[in-house]
Amino acid sequence: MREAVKKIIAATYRKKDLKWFLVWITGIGIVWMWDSWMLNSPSLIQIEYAFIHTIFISVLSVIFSLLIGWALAITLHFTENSRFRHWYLALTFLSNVLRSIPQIIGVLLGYAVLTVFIEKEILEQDIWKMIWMACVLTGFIFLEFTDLLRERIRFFQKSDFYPAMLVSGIRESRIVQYDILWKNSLIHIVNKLIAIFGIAIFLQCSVDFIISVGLSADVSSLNFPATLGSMLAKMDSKKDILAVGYSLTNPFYIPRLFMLHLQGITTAFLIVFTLFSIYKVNTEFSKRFHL
Amino acid sequence: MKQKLVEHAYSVLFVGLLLVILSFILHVTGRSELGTPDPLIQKLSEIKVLRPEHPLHRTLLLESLRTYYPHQNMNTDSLIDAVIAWRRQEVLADIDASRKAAGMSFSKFGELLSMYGSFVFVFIVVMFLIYYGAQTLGLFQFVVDKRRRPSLWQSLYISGRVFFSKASKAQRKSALKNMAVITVRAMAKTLFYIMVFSPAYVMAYSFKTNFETDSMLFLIFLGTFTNGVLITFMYKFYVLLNVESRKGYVETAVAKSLSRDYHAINNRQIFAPLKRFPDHVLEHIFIHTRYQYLGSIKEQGSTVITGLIIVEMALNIQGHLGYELLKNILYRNWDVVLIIVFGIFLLVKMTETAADVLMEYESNKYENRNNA
Repeated sequence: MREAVKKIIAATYRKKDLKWFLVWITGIGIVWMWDSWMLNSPSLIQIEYAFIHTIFISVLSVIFSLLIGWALAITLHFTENSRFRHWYLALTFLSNVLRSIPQIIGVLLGYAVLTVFIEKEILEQDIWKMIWMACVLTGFIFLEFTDLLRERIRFFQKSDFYPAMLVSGIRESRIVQYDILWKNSLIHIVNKLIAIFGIAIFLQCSVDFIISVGLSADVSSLNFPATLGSMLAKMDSKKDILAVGYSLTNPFYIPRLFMLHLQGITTAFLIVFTLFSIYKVNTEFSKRFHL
Repeated sequence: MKQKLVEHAYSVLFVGLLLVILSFILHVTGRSELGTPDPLIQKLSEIKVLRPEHPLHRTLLLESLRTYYPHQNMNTDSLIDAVIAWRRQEVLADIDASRKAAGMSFSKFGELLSMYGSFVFVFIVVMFLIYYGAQTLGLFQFVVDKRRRPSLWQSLYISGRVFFSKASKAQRKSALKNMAVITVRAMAKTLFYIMVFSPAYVMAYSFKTNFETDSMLFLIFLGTFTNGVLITFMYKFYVLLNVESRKGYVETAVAKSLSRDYHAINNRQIFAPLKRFPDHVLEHIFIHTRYQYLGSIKEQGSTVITGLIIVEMALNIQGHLGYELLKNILYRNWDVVLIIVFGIFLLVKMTETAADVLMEYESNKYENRNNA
């Protein structure tokens, strides 16, 4: 038993991406335990919901990016040298235009549309609002995934195995989707999806924080599902973060941060620690597979 | 190259046209519809001298209503509250209408132009700082890896073992000093990581009590060191360096007596704005990596703009483009919103065009296309 545990620990240590994933989970677990003890129950419940919503929206963005990115990459590949080349040119042009719109601008305009939907009571349930938020985020991050797939297809097209399989009578669709993307690019795909997950969390928190000033006179951040960004934008959390600044000049105040200012400190910690851990998982994953 | 420039021009035309069409669709001005109130509420709210929020006026009004309508069973308190609410709605509707009417004008355009100018200035400074920072930190990490020194944890463990062993007093003193230095370095590294991974607003609110947060210098600092921008591009450069260092020409260069001793590289060379490593293989690895990194400038531009807008919006920095954009989305002044969006799009396109021109120039240089 002891040997088995030792083996698992050794394997986890070698797989540093897995190690960082465990560090993330453990870190969040420790913070949750501390908060259960020290933070008032309503705030804790809000933070729990905010964290779950944030992760849920980001996971949805990853799934949507996978689906849309894959569909676009395949469409571009098969229309490039076909009689539908005009579609290829149009799609490439539109993709490039979309790429040139800074993500935050696009996402913000998408949220402005969401406020209109809320005002007109088209979207009332939180689940649909979250799906819309994920769709908006996807619209401005999925191209990274498409670019990766296109790059992988081009890379294998240059090698001998592509024409060899073609002359063997295997369908091009199967070569591209199964042999190139699924069998030979899965690690690259997973790596990119981890990165997209990080970008989605960052963008979502930023936009939710920004819209705390309100994108409409009738709709405020209260009408949106609670996320880490909107939690941080609350006045209590802002005061807690300001206390960090105060403790820089008054170091004896630092211990009180972890007892009196837990709502803001926990929210900020969850955002920064999650972004850092995802970055580490992503980079260690690339190193482990020599990407 | 010409094809790329034409494509950029078409993109600008396309987006410009799209925004013009959108501005026609979204052009909504005028006073917000308020509906009609109860005739008595309307009658009372039309009395200009009456201020029902004032306790004296409220009491007088209560008495008057009871005197004039003695037989009517009405809740006079609720009625006065309804008058106050109605007047508030009227004021808000007027403010809303005046904001919408304030839309686009020549003076407003001039204001926007001035904001745009400072945004572009900050953008250029941040772009250069991140370009330099990504290369410098990426190179630093690469050289540290190549030196194969023990990590901070390993060094702490080694010094700790010496300190708690039966070594001489001098050795234990030296080990203790090492442990202190390592701890300070570890803390500095942790703080650096916290800073670079923090979204700008977390960092800014932490500093808000200590610094003048509305200054342009602070904006440049946040744009460069927060939101994960610097670390993302530093890692990109680091990966490119690693890929480049595995290529065959590096071994050939070493065989031709170029040095590969990374201990010979000093930090001054790494942190210098013009990085030179004469007679070292790193010189060539660096030049080739820098050339490949030029392709990332477009992405860097877009990410920097996103970061700067987040800073300006999240911190409500008044008189800056990001805040103005958010404010006008709130007031539904779509003309101003669309002009700002177009301005930002133009900036991205100018950056992309500059990156393409630079790439073309460097390609001509390294691929000897001029001699062909």
